Amino acid sequence: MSEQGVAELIKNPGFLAKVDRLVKSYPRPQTALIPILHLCQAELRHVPVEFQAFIAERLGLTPAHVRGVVTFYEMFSEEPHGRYLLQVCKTLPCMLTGSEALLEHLQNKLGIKPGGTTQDGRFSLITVECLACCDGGPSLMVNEALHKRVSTGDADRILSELE
Amino acid sequence: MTEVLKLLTRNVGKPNSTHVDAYMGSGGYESLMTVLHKWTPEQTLNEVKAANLKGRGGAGFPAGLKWSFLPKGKEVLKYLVCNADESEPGTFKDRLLIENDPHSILEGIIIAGWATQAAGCFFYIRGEMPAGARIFQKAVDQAYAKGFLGKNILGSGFNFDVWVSRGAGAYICGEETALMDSLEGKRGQPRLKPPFPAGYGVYGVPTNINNVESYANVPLIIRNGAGWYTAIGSPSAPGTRLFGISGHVKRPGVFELPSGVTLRELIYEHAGGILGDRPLKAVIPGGSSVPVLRADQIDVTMDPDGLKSVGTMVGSAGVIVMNDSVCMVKALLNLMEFYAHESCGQCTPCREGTHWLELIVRRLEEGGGRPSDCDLILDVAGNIMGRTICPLGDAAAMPAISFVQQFREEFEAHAREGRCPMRDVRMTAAI
Ligand SMILES: Cc1cc2nc3c(=O)[nH]c(=O)nc-3n(C[C@H](O)[C@H](O)[C@H](O)COP(=O)(O)O)c2cc1C
Repeated sequence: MSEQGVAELIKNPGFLAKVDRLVKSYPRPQTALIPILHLCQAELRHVPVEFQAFIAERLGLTPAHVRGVVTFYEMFSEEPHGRYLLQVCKTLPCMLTGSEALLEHLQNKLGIKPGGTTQDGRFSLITVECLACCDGGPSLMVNEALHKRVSTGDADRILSELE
Repeated sequence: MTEVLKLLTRNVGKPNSTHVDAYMGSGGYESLMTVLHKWTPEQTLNEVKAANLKGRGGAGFPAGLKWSFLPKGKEVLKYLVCNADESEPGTFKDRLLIENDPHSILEGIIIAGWATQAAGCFFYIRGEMPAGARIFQKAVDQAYAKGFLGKNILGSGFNFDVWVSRGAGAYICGEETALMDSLEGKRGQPRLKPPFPAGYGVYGVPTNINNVESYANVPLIIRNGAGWYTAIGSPSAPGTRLFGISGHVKRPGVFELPSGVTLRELIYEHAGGILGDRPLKAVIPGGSSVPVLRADQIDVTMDPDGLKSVGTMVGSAGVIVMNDSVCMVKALLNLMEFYAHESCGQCTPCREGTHWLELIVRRLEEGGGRPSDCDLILDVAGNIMGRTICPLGDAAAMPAISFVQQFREEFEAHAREGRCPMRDVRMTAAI
């Protein structure tokens, strides 16, 4: 599914079928909330309040409860990020092996600070805590793809291979 | 040199190692067949108890004993949880098993299910491991197709399900009760104990939780017996351990070794010595939450007794190595940022204290430190310790206290000189 709004998403039969499957796949429906929020985040690159209201009603929760969950977990955002989310691990093992230089390089290259998105909407840059690949520091995750031992040259190559 | 043992890692690197057929081709699921066809649940539990399997998630609690806390009998609804949140900085061992040998974890889970007569297991994997979640889900699907999961498993009358659920980026959700709240579709905030999970777990149902590596040991114990198992490693922590070693070493990675290996050997033999051929300065031996060691304290065995003798712990066996290009104040600042960011905010000492620690360590590193700051760090950290619902507070306080105690002169030099004395030293990088 390419660029679409929340209004289309919550009417999309394919998406709704996935939501239903998740709701039925756990002993109790509430366990499906976080997996469903992941679905929305993947489709829209954020979880807007309209979606929160929709899923709250579907699962018999209050919108406030859902919002509390969305804002608690790092991987959900209420504002959309760029098409590619660059996640630089900043925790100790990666810092020891060179994450500061990697982050600085990406900032300079893209002209944005951590938390920022390039004007064309392609890249967002964030720092994240330990990704559990400490032997591969400095590590960089681009959307779902994990890259290990990323030199500044590697970073240039990884970015140039994205559309 | 202590030989690397390939027990838990026996299938890592083999072709198709995540596929059920490959796993069965090398004896996989035979332990499950043994217990389902020949052993009672009690016998199964007793074997794991006799093996003295210690939990690999951080606290080292005996697994068999924990299983025995669940109410008995199959009439009582019970759940298991497999903790695959792996978010302690310096820890990356569970990832290796999940991505390379999911069936060994799954077989251990199903055997634990038989031993405790549980209805099923939630596999909670951190959100930042999407590939691992897909691999594990595929393994679960294959196990259902082979009849190792579902109704009447292998004709035994035993029913057992596994549900895979992903976290979404929160260190605190590795803590067992926060994880259970997260499974219930809530913010991950630890619960006050008691009641313990064995009485009140997921949805209030009695629940047993173990780490990935803990479960992966179970099929080996069943296959080879408790006597075989307790002969490996040191008596206080039998079996092998997946030691993850990172930071300033030449060969970072996961090494499977008997628990009695020394820290020196792990760093200088297995991990190839110090990156940049510089002197060793400091080691955190068990994940970021345990007290740090100086270079002259590494002649100890990597087991509870050995590490206790130098005032620290095995924790999650994630060893973080720092050479002499590292400023200890900067290293501590990095960890304090982590804990301040990851505190769930529920308990005042942790919510406020972790931020104060970050602020004080930051001002030291940035040149605004005061002579009293070392004592202030010790005071703030001391006021977090033991005063929170879950151990995240302690996990922040222990590095803070130990860094100051072990490297006090370096901290004081920052305040005295009004700047970081090491700011012109280039830290050794791996790339
Ligand atoms: C803040 C915090 C984070 C934790 N993170 C993890 C984790 O990522 N993985 C894990 O297995 N245990 C983690 N634990 C320990 C669990 O609470 C629990 O003790 C463990 O899952 C029990 O399994 P075991 O007995 O097999 O070790 C954490 C504990 C705390 C306090």
